[in-house]
Amino acid sequence: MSASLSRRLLQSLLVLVGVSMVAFALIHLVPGDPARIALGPRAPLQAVVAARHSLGLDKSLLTQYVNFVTGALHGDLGYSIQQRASVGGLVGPRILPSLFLIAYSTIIAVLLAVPLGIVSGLKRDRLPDHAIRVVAMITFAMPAFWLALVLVELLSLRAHLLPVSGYGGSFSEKVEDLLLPALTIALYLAPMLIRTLRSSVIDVLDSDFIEAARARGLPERRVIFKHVLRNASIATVTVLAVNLGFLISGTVVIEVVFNIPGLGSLIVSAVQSRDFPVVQALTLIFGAIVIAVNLLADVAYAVIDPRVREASAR
Amino acid sequence: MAARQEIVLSGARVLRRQVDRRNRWSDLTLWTGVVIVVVLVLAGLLAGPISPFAPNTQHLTEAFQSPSGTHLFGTDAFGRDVFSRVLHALWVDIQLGLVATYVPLVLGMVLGAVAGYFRGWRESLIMRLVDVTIALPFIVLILAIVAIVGPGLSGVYIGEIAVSWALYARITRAEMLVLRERQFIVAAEALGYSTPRILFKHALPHLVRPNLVFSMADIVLNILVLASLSFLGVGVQPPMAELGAIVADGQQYLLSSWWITTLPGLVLVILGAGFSLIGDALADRFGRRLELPR
Repeated sequence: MSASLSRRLLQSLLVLVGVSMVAFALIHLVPGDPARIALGPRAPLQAVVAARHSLGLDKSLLTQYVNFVTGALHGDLGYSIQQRASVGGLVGPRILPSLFLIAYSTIIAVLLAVPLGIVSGLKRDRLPDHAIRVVAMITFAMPAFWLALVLVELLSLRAHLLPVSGYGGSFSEKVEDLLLPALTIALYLAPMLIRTLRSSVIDVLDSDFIEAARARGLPERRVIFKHVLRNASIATVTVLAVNLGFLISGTVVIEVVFNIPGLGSLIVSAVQSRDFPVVQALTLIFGAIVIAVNLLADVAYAVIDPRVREASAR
Repeated sequence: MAARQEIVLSGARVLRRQVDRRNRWSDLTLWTGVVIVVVLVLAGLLAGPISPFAPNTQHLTEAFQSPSGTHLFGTDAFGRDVFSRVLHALWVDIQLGLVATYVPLVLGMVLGAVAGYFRGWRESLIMRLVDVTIALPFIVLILAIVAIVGPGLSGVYIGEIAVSWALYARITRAEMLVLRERQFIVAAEALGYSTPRILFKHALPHLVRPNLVFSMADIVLNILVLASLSFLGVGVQPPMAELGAIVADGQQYLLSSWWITTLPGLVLVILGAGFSLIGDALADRFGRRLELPR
């Protein structure tokens, strides 16, 4: 473990602590009594007092925070008053569908965006570049939920090509059921990836080592495959990590549209019913996922890119 | 000698052509974007006088009419004119887009400039706050804030402002780190100018460009977040017209009355494309980038 990676690990832990504080603070920022708001104005006083106790709101702030963090570390994420169930029990079965959807849409997005981003960069300011940029710009402006509905209307309801919604049991059923949602998320994410890949290809093309490679008389095909594409692969890893929050944001909305039993539809229903413990737990979980993936991307970065590897070895 | 001059000249001509081509393209995108945005802003501001029907008045006998001369975008389940609702929704969306982008831009620029200029504990504090904000997917943090404040437009405003500042702070700090070593800043320090004067009068004008370029993409994102939250039922509350909420109204009738979802969504796409086109042209001109900063 090099010094820079352990520093990065420490920094990630610090951010995670910050995220836990934000998640913890949420319920205390609710104007008025969270237990009363969660239960509604007509709930009997006894129930409100019981809810306050169950939420731990009758203890000191410090005790509450320590309990929140130690609980989370032991997998105890609190108790949902609305659903009368432990938050861990609600969250557990919903992790897999969300991860499946995120992975699925990332694969489609990469397959779409990497070739387009590279072509756009290589053909800078020419027709293919303009065409790709305009299409990406229009797709970027499309609301994901609207795109989902239009695709459902065209591909499922009219053409009967794909299932409208659902989440099948077997792997192949899942692949089929989630194709439309994954495609929607991929189309939503792709413009971000294309844009960044395009600039990174342009940066590489403008750099000295490409000029040196050309000056040495290397054939253009070799310059592009060996130098430009290798650097683009590094950029793809970074771009995916940077845009993970963006990707998850899209997933949250799309899960609701397609009725997928994932973490995103859980947080939306929790916000609608003002089920604070569930919102807190999911804030913490989503934050932890993003922090972990970014850390992994940095490790991957160090493995792929010799410059980073050497810099951290020094 | 003459041959060599010829080579240099032809190289210059090629470069010149490239620059011309880029400028022509960025002129075209810029003006297309400006026209789209201006038209939609005017339509939104003048929604009252120009819309043919009242946005919330129900005519149950006229429900689900397909687009026609009287009802350009058709009518919804309550017989409300979708086109009039779209006109009234436009300014709700654009206003949020502008406020939820430029308030955080100013906030983020000040914090980012302070972090980059002073370094030390101020930088650590601000940048860790940025890290925490960015670690949370924006929709999750905004949803959490809406859960606190309660569903409605004000919750969305608070949520978006609380989230958006972080990227501007990150962009500005990175610029400031380079800027503070530049000679004119060092000279201003040597002349004994006050820190606020150096920060606001000397540094700030150089920090505006990259933030302005990014703000165009951010407006689109912010409007889409409002539309998404309204679509999910936790943003704008009925009967208020908002583009995402109108799309949600038609969700159940997708097959029989496609116009209720499709047309308002299309207006949202055109609006977003307008801002994106301006952003893209500005990015080309200023040599800046639109993507999320790392």
